[in-house]
Amino acid sequence: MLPHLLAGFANVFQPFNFLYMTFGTVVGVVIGALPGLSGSMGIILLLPMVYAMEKSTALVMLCGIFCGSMFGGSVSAILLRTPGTPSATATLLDGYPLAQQGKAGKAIGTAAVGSVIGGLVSCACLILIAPQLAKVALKFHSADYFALALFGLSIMASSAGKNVLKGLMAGAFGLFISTVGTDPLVGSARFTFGNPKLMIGFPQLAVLIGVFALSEVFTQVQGGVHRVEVKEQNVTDFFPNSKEFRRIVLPAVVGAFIGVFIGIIPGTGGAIAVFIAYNVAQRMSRHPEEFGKGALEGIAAPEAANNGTTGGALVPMLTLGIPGDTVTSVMLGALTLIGVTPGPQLFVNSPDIIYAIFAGMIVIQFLMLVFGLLFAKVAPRVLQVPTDILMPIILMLCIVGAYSLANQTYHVAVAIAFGVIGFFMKKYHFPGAPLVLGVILGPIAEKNLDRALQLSRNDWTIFFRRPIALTFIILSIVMVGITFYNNAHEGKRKAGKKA
Amino acid sequence: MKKKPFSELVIGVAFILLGICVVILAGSLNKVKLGIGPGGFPTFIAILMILLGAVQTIATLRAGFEAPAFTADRRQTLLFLCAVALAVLYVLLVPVAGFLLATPVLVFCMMMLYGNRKYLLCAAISILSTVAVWLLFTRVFLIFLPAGRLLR
Repeated sequence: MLPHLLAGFANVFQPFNFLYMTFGTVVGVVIGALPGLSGSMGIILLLPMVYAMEKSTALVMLCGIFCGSMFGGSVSAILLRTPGTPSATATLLDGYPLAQQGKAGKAIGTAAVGSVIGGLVSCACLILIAPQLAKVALKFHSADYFALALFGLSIMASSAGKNVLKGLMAGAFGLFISTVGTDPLVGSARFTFGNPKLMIGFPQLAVLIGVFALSEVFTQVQGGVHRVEVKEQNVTDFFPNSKEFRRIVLPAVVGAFIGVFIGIIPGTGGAIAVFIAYNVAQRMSRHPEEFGKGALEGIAAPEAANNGTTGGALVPMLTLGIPGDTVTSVMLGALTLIGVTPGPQLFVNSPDIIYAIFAGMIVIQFLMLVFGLLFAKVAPRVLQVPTDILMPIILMLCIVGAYSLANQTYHVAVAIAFGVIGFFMKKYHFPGAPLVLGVILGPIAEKNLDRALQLSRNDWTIFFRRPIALTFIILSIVMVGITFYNNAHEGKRKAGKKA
Repeated sequence: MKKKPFSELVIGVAFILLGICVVILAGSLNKVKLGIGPGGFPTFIAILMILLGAVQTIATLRAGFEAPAFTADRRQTLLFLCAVALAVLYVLLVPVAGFLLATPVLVFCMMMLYGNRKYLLCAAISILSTVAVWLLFTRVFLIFLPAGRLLR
């Protein structure tokens, strides 16, 4: 492993790779800091660039955006009380009060240190877990893959929180979308209504661009001119002193492991991990009463957790081709553009790419620290870019991105159509992520379901005879069951309170 | 129990209807002896959609729903419709006018829709950003962007 890793470091320190990795990290930090934009949007905007790149260059740039956006979200959470990304929601609970006390620099510095700790722990876990999981995944039967896809969908629906039914509906709709076009089994046309353009179906990346990026453009047009007011802040004195560092290191490490664990579960993400890490940090603290008033642990733990999810989310994506969260689902689409097929075979056939990612993820943590803090200095000015300038330019970049997928306006039309669908989904509180996961997991589930039944000669008990498949199926049922039970229980509790 | 919006009922029923349509259409696809065949997977999904739609509909009916009311802000609805119409128009125009002519118009109009009234600034940003993106993608990343029949 070590020689591979050293070769990975040599790869990422190639001038072009290092330059694009730094560029990706900076773009990630800025995009993450701008409220309403997220890491997935950052990857979507830079999609056309990846064609012209070497595989490892493109991958480390995408990883840079992923990690950078996780930290970037905390900057606006601390300065504006508006999390740049959902993963930074818990950071504002203590970050903003600290900024109000004139310690914005300290809050951002603590977030950066927490992010680096989280990122490094997640890198270590990624390097240790991913190759082992890939070895196990090499032995996966098609029945196991089908059950895994089912598990991914159930988790994503469950993570929709109180909207579990809507999460499931969005996931089912995504699965349906994935079936339009030429079917992958015998090549016949499905739901195309004689339209030859529909033979290629709805391209995954065009759907992603629509649901994650264009829907935001259509949503924000209703808000009119939106100029963020940033109060003059004293963004200096970043680094925690030794006493403060000792106070934050343990909650950050615990938060990082929580983040890694949550990140590995397909379909989850930073937004869930941060609140668990925040609660655990509060319980661990000797001064729980300080939480919510500017406790440094309350910043470090969730930041370590959201960066912890980055390496964790890459584990299922790289080893099984199943995205760990929404950003990795966009990344998965981007990988197909450059001819990289994630899965256990990638570890066997292209270890150079895998270890370039591992080494890149480690280097990115330090780049994030340097450029994150530099950005914090200019953030009050950058965050004032008005939406009436930003959003039309994002629309243009989305159109270029969709067009460049196949040099066809059909892809742009699909992106716009799904932008409209995404707009209505937001309006009626349907989460977009399960739809996208359905679109990605649909073909995997269908192919493996068919293959498993062909191999077993239509014996459905194959899914219950294989221990791995059975485990995933039971987990799927338990996850959905628990979420429905919790929702019903919560509803009764609220009704009881009102009575 | 708090009443639900009428839209919840409409979505539930629409989901059931979509599921039924998919079942019917999937039934007409080729059948195979081994495996699920092209219609198998869509049928499973359609059944799931019908079940989920039914749960949504029953939950809304049980909780009761508010009377249908068209309370949407007209200005906001118009802004959204204009933004979508602009994007659709762009898709239709770009093969004719090309990226360099159609994109600044789209960006400028979107800035207007977003409420910016600094016409000169918007025009300058629209043109400069389009040219910058054109140069970056065609010269640096070597990605073909539509030239348009007008400029050929």
